[in-house]
Amino acid sequence: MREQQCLSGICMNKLCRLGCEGVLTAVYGSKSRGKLWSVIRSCALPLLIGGAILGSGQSSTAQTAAVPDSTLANLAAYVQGLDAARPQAAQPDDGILADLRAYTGQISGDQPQSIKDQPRLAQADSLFDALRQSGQGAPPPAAPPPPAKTKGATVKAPMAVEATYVGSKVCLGCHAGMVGQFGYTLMGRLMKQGKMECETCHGPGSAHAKAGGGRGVGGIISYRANDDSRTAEENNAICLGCHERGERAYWNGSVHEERGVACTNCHTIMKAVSAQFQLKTAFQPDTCFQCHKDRRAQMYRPSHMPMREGKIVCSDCHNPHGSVTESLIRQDSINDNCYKCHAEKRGPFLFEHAPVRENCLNCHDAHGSINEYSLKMSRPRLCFECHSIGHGETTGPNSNFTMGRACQNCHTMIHGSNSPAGGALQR
Amino acid sequence: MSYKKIGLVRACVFGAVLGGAAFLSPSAFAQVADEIGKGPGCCQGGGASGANAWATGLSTSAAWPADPGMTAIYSAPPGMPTKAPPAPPPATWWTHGELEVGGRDFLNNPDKSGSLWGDNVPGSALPGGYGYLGQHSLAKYYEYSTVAPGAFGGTHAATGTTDGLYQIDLWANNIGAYVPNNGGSYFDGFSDQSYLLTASKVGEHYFWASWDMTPHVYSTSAMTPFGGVGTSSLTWLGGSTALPSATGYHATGVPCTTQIGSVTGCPITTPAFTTAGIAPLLQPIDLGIQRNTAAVGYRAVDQWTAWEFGADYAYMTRKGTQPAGIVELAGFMPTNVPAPVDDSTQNFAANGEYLGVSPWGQKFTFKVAYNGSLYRDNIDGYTVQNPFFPTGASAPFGNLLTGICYTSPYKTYNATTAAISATYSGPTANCGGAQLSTWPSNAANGFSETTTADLPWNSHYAGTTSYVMMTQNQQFLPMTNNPNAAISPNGYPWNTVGALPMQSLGGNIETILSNNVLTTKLTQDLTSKLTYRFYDFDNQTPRIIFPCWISYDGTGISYNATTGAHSTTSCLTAGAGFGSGYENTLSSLSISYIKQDATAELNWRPWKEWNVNVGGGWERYDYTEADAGYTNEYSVKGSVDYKPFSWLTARASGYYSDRIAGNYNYLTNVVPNQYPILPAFTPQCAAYTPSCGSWVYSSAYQQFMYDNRQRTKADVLLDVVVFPGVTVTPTFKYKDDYYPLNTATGAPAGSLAEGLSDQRMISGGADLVWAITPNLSVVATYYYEYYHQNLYSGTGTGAPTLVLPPGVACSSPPLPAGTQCLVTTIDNEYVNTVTVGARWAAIPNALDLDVRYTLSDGLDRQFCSQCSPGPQFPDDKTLFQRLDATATYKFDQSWARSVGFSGDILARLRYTWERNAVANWQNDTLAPFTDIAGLTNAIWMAYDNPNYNVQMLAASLVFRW
Repeated sequence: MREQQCLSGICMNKLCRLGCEGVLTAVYGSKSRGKLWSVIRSCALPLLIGGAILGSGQSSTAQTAAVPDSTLANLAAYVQGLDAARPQAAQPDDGILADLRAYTGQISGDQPQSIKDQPRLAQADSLFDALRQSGQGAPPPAAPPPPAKTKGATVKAPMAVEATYVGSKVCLGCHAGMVGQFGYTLMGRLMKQGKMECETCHGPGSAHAKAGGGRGVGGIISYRANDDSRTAEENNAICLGCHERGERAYWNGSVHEERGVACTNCHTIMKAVSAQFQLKTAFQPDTCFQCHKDRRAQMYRPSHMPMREGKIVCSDCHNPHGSVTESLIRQDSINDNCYKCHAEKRGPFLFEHAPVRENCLNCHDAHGSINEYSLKMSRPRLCFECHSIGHGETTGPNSNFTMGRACQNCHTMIHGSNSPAGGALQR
Repeated sequence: MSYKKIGLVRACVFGAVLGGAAFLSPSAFAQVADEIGKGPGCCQGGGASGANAWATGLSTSAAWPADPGMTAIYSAPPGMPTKAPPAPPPATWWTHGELEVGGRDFLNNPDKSGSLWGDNVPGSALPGGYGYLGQHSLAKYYEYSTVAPGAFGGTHAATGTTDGLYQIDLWANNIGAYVPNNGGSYFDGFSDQSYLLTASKVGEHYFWASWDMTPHVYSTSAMTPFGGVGTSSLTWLGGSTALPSATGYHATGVPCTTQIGSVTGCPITTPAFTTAGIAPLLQPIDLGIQRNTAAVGYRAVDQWTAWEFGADYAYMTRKGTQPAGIVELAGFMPTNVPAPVDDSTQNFAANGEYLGVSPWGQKFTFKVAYNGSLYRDNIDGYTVQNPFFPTGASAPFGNLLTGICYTSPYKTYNATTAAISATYSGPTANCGGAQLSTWPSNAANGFSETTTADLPWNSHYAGTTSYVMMTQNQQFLPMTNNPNAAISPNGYPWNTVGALPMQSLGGNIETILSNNVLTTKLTQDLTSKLTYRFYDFDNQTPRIIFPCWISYDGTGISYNATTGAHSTTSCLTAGAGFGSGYENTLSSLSISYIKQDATAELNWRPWKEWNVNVGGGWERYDYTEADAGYTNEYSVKGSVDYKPFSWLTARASGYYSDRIAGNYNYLTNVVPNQYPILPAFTPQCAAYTPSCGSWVYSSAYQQFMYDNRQRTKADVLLDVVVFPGVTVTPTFKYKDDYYPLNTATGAPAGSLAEGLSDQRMISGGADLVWAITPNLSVVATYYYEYYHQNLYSGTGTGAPTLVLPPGVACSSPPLPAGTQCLVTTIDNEYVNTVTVGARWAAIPNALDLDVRYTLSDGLDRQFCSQCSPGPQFPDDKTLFQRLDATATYKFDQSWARSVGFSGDILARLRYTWERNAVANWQNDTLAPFTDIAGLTNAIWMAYDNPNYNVQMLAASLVFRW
């Protein structure tokens, strides 16, 4: 809560007395906090995308200063051309920008004059690049320092860059084009309400602005997947500062947390791609299919739940942030999960079918199957896994035990029967 | 140009191509795949947003004009040497959105109902002479979505205030899909319209409401000889005229059945209804369930007290039919019927969560929640008239010559000698009608609390305690609808509810969950995790014992074999001379279990490139009234994630566990409970004795849920950016469940164990994403899945004692007396899945072309070592294909303005080809009435025809503002 309130600039009750500065230091690793409240409530614009849209494998304005103007101009023209198809954000007038830049210089005057040596991204952004560099025998230019190999190395710690909060308005000076759709998102709206700032997520930006920008420069936090200057754990901690409650209660220790999945592996912040939950893809399962490719293949099998039709999505059954059950199942048990839509099978029944009561997945593959009704094995073989009662174990087709619905030709109430005569689940 | 500049240009180019998000990462595929081949837009079925596997749905803010309010609303930083900061402009309301309207039609005029019988020439080479023979229906195409011909539309409209305080979004999808009763030319009555409304005051109040219609279509080609479809009374359309068995009748009216002992010489008469005769009575029906759901939700964030509150409610109805089977209408031959479905489910929940500071000065959260669910079935049960004996229930007792329904004791007729037996025989399963139950109404109520807390020593705790109570107390149906049923121990005939030991179940299952997770950051690099989970599934449902239990309506008669008189005394004391149509004493079971899990794990992140996990776990089940008394499972697992460069991510994990079952004994743990011996009652046949073993499962079975098991799992995933813009993601998975059956020590001793021996899954594939140019991207994926299962089963109820050499069928030569054959079956499934797609901005910012093709090819192959001849069943094959080609043209804005529209206008043309082909030996040859050998008198609905071949063209205009 402290993080939430502090980071969002809200200090409405006694909780804030606990010391927001400490919170922010813990989250960002910044040594500067003296001007916290004087600036955090008055800034203006997301560095969030920080490298997200204009940026890329390398990037942006910090490096802009290192290349000739002609190159910059060509690049700018090219990027503008690419972006021509997109709606353009309103730009502050030049006068305001000039003032902002001057102000940035002023407030960061007490910072180190040069922070160009701060870690940046690796230069090679593909296997091909890496091989080529290796073949040329030349170290990648401006390569990051090798990771510390000692236990407790500080490489994972946030970069301790001397920086102060400058406010979103300063960020807007360079990144106005990145917030075109942000204002429509939930976090963008909170920002417009003054309840959070760019630096709430991206950390204090004075050093970044002083250096002329650039992804990772000045300790700015970019969240990009290929930004290896920070770990997923570090970036996630910032998100969790506000989002640890609710669905994220079991994030700590969840399989996705253990495997180093970053919030931004699944969520995108600066625009609403999905109808809800700021997911990376419009069709939610596509987000999960990034890693769970077998589930994507199963979705296309003839027997499936209405996932590919968009009627249900992965999170209807799973909580990717962690849960109290195996496989990140939302409810207390797998069956409880199924009962949300299939309440008719909840019972209890007079005559239960033991494997059904124990686990629906004993018979079904919920992610899709080539067998009817998403059965994990076609009938009657499925039933033979537990039963052999002289019902067609060795017969072929043309048997009332094997054709059509096979065993369910007769035992139709296979999920349980409440009929007094249903002891054999046939009524 | 320096290398750095090259990298800069390249990076910017591709960064723009990919929209900026998650470039060169595992997420690249998702980002590109979400765009490639999925023409944006709605009305391809699905939820309110219209997003599904084929479409990205209606536009979100990502496609809206930039928000000008973001820059204008900020005040200048304090002390900033600028002109006087402008006052924030007053909030105004903005509106954005997208509206798509259009029409679509099939290009190839697919047949909704396919061909009734395909080849309807009796005597065809196919068994029964009937089959679909490649004919199609639209059932599977419409299974979960109604992308039907006609007008369609969808929209996403949004409005909000420029200060961000308020925003309202409305999505509507596929709103033109409803085609009610249009003569059956396309599809009747199912729809998948969907609507979602969200409204919020940011940071304070969030509200949503939705309306969703989801079909679940089973068949559009089913045929049934029953009327009253969808009701609780299915009546034979032949009236009082019976559908005779194909084996015909003796001239006296006696069916030539094996009850006579021999059918030799039985003068078969021509049945009144042959297969052709039944045809006029068959009615085409659609089988399916329409599921409609209305839901609302609300969440309030109280920033003053650190509380959050939420509540939601959903009301879901289901109406329609689904296939069901009945066994007792025609001498244990199956009869498929359309079972009625008419029910509702209400789910409701409320929760509150507090976030505060613990006494030790660290953060904690506390959440309490209530979840409730009410299921109401509007149909308690249904009856089905017996086409073979439609008036049988009223037949006089003991009158063989006038009654053909053996609801009553009867004398047998010897067709050879034409003699009528001296004594009476028991009733058979053939009665005037069958009575079947439906799902009973039930309820569930649950309470839970979840606490999370940061603790001293860099620890964090998360724990949940929950209690759920599931109840069901719907009044039972009578044991039978046979008016001549035996008298129960209660003194009432079994066709009354009063005969039952209890009028309703009083079912009650209570579950208690305690889940606890403690993580501790031992050092900067090392984190430990300890978990303990306790789950008590306590089934407090009372056991109900049914003496003289009967399973079929026609069998529950106690009678005097000499006189044929119906007994009017309790079945327990029917007395000498009275035979028994009832069966055994049967008890319900109240299966319970307690599941405990404990794990200890270490997570080591020595360098930012590495992430290593190792751990071990223990899981224990304690069962009540199950085959095993308990199981203990011990496991170890590990994983490594390696991301040395921005262009490479590698993930690998492994898992092994060993589960040991204790006190595994079906005969001891289950049988005495399920088939109890009543002190005052000697059943005609004790179910647990070998002579009456049909109700006792083979004691040699090792049920895979409880059995010893060794599980091995491995996963590997790589994500490699080979070239800038080219990402390859190979993946591999392996899982094996090995059940070490000891075929030499089954139960009872000396027999052979039965059950699953091995289940193995191997899969792997790769994704390729290539952003060739800023205007052209392609994606290709391939995935292979293999499933293998090895199973031992027997040929009878008892325990197998004989293993025949492979290839020698159990039925040939005849097994020695007292022996049963162990059957080995192997099942293999193979599935190949391919997706290729491309997106090309043919005219940048004006014309986009999207193409996507998906294929899923499956094969199920089964072998049987002791079956004859060869493989037990033919192969099953499935093939799904879909091609989408979408062209979207964006009109020049000046033109749009010239026609009076200030936003964007797009024209979209979409061609879809979708085909599903299934070869399934179980269903492909089933005609509505099947008189083939082995299936005499079976009545099917011929409902399962998942084959279709659809070409559809859709044209629409999109207005985006």
